[in-house]
Amino acid sequence: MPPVIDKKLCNTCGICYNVCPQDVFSFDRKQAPVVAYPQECWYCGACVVDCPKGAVSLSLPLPLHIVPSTALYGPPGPEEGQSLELAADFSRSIERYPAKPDSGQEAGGSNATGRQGKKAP
Amino acid sequence: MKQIEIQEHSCDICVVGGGLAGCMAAIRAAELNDDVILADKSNPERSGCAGTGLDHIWGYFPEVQSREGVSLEQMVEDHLQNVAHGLVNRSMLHYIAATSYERILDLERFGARIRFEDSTLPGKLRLQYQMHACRNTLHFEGRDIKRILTRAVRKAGARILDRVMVTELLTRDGEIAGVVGYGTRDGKIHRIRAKAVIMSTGRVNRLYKPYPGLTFAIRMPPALTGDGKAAMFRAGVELINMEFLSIPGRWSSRNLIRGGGLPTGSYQPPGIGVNALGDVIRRRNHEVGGKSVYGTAKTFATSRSFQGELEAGRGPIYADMSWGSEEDQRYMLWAIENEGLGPGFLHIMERYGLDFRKHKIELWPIEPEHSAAAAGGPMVDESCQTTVPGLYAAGDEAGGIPGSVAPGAFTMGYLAAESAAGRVAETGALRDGDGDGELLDFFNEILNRSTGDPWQDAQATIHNLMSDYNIRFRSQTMARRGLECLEYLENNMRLIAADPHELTHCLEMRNLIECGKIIFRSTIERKESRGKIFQRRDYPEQDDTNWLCFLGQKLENRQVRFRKHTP
Repeated sequence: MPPVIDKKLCNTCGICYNVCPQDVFSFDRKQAPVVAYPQECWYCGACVVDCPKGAVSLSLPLPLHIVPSTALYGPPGPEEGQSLELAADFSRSIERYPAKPDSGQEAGGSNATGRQGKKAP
Repeated sequence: MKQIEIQEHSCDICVVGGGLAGCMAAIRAAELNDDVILADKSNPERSGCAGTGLDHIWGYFPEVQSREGVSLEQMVEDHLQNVAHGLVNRSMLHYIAATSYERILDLERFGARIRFEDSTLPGKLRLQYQMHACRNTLHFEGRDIKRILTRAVRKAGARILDRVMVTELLTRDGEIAGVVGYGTRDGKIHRIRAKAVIMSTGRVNRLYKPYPGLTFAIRMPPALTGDGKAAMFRAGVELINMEFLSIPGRWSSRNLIRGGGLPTGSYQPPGIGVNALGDVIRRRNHEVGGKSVYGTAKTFATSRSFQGELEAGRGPIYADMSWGSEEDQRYMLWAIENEGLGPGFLHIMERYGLDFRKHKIELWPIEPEHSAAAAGGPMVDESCQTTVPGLYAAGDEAGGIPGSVAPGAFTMGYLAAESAAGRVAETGALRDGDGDGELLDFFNEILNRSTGDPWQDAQATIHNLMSDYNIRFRSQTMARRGLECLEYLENNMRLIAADPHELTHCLEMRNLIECGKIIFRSTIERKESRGKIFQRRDYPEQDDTNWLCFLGQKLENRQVRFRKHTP
């Protein structure tokens, strides 16, 4: 039944009721909000994020559960390994910026495996 | 007989829908000293597609792209060719690309963090590849962007009317005179007179059967039910592109709810797609092939598709982010925290003992989506005005700009506000408008009915009709049958509602049926196929000679009229 409010933690501020885009809560200002329409939750997490007491959590309905499996672990196939290892060094968030435009040179060491620096296997 | 209470409001400019576009419109309109009401079906603090976040906005960043040798015109051309496939409102696209950065600077002014010390780019921006062939998508701290915008709306002096679902427009002598909404909690009718109206209610998200079988467990916000498009059509506004699908079946997380874990997400530097044997089927975003207008070929495309792997018996398909470096994974965690639905995704992962940094995430083609990448909605001119004077549309509400998404929302919201303010300056007194007669009849019938059909039954019928007759075997005869069935539903459903919450859902059914009918009618009319967004069994070929055009549909004297427009 998503979301779930821990009544011991709830301070009855009503923020979850105020922000819920699906309007799943009902609230009367003296008690913890009630999840009046559990089937209408979008699992967006607004109530979880905005609750000042950490009193709200989401529980998943059965069709949305991830079934555990060994298939969820493990590296990609061996022929890909090397290029992936190389690429793992690469983060576009902090990619080195070319010193000069059009120089064709990347300025860094292991971080420099940019778009031009790699070939298809 | 029960009667519904009516509350009157008036303002210069009414903005309908408080998502990214609506908030930006309300802020700009109020900055121009107009008397502004922002009406939202829920609460702008967490409503719309970016309710719990937005981590990426594309735009033209002159100090970065010009150094990389990419001009604004080239980026527009890239979008036109590779995102919109030639069918786009070019002048609006150019405006969006050219001014997106200015609006991003507005966001910074409102309090959003957009600069980061670890960036080596000018301006300390974190830029990523997303849908264009150059690095033009800003990553920023947008988890609370809606709260930041809502604060700016209030600060600018606009009034927020929350929990009001606008579902009808008022017109007088062919021009806009206001809107009519329903209080989703107070159960009142809110009649808002205005000199100009900006529509920004976004996409139509509950037309197609959701793949998990749960009505509200869909990728995009289920509160968005095409209320604006339906209201505009009833008021005689010309809509275009409604026959197109945005995304026929996006590959997304099968068991959680949406895009978290999808390699195509802009926040996934090391996100790849693999089959059950571990073969890499989809490489990282910036490595995936595509035509580039910048002269640089994109390498690393694979010829294999997710669908092909399933059909070849090598499923399931997984998103794999497990092999990224710790630094990459930290970066992804930050990005997911800031992207819409990301906080919920991470919360659920933690609760259920899952970690995208260790576990692959199974992917599946989820329900089709309407409106966004296809841009079905009212045709707008260069001022964002629709075909009804005084009525403007912005963001995903507007038709004709595929892939405009967040920058489209910010820039068109801003532009619509400037245009609306200009109109207000030239307009005299508020006027009374007409257009809510059928709505009041609909209300009164429901309020005075004690037995009948729950809205959920109508929703299930709509899901079935749209998925079966529009998606699976699209053709003239199927669309005719679909239209016939929707009209039957409209005329024979006897909806009941115990409270305003349920009555709101009844109104949503009315709007979804309206949008479905428009879609079927345009489907019958457009006699061709067009890429993934429109595939007809009876006309499998693309026909640019006759159909490289927007197909307009509007009501004139209660008759439906079609018109072609050259983009």
